[in-house]
Amino acid sequence: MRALNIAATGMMAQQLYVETISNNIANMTTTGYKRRRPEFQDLLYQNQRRIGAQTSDVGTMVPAGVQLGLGVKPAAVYRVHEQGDLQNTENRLDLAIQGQGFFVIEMPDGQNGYTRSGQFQISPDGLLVNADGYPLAPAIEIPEDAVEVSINQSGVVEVKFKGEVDTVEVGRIELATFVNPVGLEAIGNNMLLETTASGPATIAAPGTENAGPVLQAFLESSNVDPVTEMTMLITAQRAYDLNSKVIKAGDEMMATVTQLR
Amino acid sequence: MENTGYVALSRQLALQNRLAVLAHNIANAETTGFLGDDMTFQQVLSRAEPSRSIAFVQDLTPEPDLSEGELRMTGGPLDFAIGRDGMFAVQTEGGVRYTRAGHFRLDQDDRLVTFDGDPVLDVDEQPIRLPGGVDALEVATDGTLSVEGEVVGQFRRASFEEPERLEREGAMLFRTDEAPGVAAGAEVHQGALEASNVEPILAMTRLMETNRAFQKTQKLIETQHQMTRKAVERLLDVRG
Repeated sequence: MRALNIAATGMMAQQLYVETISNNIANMTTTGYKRRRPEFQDLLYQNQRRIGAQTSDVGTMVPAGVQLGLGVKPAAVYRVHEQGDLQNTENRLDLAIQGQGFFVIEMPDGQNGYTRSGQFQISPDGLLVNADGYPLAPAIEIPEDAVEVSINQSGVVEVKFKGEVDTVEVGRIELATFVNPVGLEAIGNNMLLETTASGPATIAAPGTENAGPVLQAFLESSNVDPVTEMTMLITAQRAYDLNSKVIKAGDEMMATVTQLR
Repeated sequence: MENTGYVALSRQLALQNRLAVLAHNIANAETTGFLGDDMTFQQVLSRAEPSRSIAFVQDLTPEPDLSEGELRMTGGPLDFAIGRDGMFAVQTEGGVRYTRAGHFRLDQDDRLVTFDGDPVLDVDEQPIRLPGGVDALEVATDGTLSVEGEVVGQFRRASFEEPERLEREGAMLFRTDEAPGVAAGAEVHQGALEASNVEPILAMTRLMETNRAFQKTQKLIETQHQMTRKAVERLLDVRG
């Protein structure tokens, strides 16, 4: 009874759908989170009677054969890199990107990580670090006696010392852009890694190319829309239900057979 | 006498296949660009005696249901829906394949590819490249792609004279030996995806129908079985 297995693949796919939605809803308030969407594809087909097979010596052929599909499979769970809403936080070290760029973070293992989450702090060494304490790359050091930090749209970090009028530039924030940002690998903690699918990072100053300007005292909220997620949850649940009905129908047909004497 | 059983058996086998087809449709109720199908049955005549003929059931999958699924707006710059009769052409390892699932992305070489990494083809059967990024990408309804006013390619919109000969390959791809024409009337829409065209209500009613038909056939077998038994009993009575 093929129908049972096919419906099972359907139920598993819908389960993945619900799992993806629940992850989106759980991260509804995560800074810089990008919603995920599953993509499904049909599984292989079995040819029981091949289309175009010859049915006689004079060359007549089967116009439409019997092709039985074997169900559905998840093809990808991809991120939707749509701009999230910008929220004013009044915190001078919060940064948001309005564009396609990513902040470059130096991970403890030396390689670069990329993130949209711009919640920065000052480490004991005076470096601008993210919530996990990993420094921005290239590193930006804020002098201990600076009283004010200002970051402009082009990513220039300037500080002001007590009793002085002019500001002093201490570094520039650089952003990375990718040909295919969907291809970046998520490793948790709002962090993404470069892959062959994403293409190499192109480093650009904020505001140039597609990187987009950096906004001080703003954070990018997640781009999860609760209403869409809820409607998708309903669709997924109903589709799950439908597949279970197929299993029931298959079961009833098998029960009919077993009653045969 | 046994013919009743064999005819019923052929029907039950066909119905089981129909259930598999329905299950496959329902499993793909949320698959982008999926085209459902249903089974038609044909009778196969077999001459049992010179004066009578007996019809067995044989199942045939007809052409995929080419009706358009509903359009879902996604706003994604690389999401495309293609109008009725049209299909996107994709270069796979095994040759050119066709699909209605216009859910693409860019690969590291700026090529427009499917989720399996197969490049999408333009009118000249060359991979479509988008070196200018996707931000300024605009797509006209005839499938012409332009970045900042500069034309970078046009989708191959394949149409088929015999869509019933399209063979499914899985992963949303169709193959055919026919050289496809151009679907001039098939409009391409950016920022939308075509949902699966499986109608849950139709699928449910067909499911119930199949189940009932199976049970009825079963009843037929039972009736025939009882008749045989009665006949045997009568014969014994006569002898006794």
